[in-house]
Amino acid sequence: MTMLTVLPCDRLVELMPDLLDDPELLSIEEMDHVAQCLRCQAEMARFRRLRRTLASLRLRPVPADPGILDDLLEGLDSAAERRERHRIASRRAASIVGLAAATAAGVGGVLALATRRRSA
Amino acid sequence: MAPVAAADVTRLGSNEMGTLVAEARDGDRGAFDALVRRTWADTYSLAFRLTGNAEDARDVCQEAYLRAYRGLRRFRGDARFTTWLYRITANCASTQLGRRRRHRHEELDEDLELSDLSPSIDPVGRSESASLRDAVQKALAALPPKLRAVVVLRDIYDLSHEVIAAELGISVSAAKVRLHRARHRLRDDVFLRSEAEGRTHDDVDRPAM
Repeated sequence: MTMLTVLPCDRLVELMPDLLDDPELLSIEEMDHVAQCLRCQAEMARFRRLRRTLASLRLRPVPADPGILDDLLEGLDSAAERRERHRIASRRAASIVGLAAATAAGVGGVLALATRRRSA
Repeated sequence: MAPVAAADVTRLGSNEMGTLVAEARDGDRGAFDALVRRTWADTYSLAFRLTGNAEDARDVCQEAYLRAYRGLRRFRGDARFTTWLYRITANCASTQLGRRRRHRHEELDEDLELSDLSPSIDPVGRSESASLRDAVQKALAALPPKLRAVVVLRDIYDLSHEVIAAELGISVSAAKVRLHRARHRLRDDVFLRSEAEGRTHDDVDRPAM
């Protein structure tokens, strides 16, 4: 009995999608089988063609409505405006908090001074 | 401005893109707009291929650029800007598809049985024809979204298993399993089913004998 009849083509075909990423998945015996088996070679060729065709799609953009670009830029404008408003509001809030803290400290200082003078 | 195809984006060179990214990261809105103009067609194509429809693709695209704009300071530049943008787009598409599923209560038919069609001999690789490309695009569109996402990101956009898994929120082994199943289904649809229907892509471009 030859190796060709022993090795199951179905099992190798099942492995073929993974061979595209890792050609070393096959044992030496399995590689020998593929080298001699027309069916396995044909299946491998199909998966390779499939992958090449998929890769070629990368260079072919899907037709898009040119208005999308305007929408994208408008969306970014709105986001930038929101961010700026938030930044200004945060800065204003920080100033108010700082002013309040300074006022509180000042009042506290005056009170402390007054208390010390009174007790003296 | 006319859309710029992926090939042209590549031709622009990493230096020019790198300069724009650096300027945009320093807060130059004009530079970020220039990046959008140069990449939107490619980003939209990815979004469309992942979601399978124009409306979702538009939303995903918008969300992806907003996230990129907000997160640009965190982009370290150790990957290409376009790759970083693909990752964001994949993540947005995954979120969008999840939202759609919840709204529509749709079950993804990932466990559909494959047809038992007999394989036949295929001549070894030749240049890809337009009809083969069309068949592949149709088969891609017919895949369940979860399978389509991995094969699009891996075989069209060349992202690694690890990146795909991270952006889709699945394990690396799950990403590999989905890719395996997606490739098998595409092969069935493109080569075996068309053959069973009397068409064959195996003979495309075969020289007259």
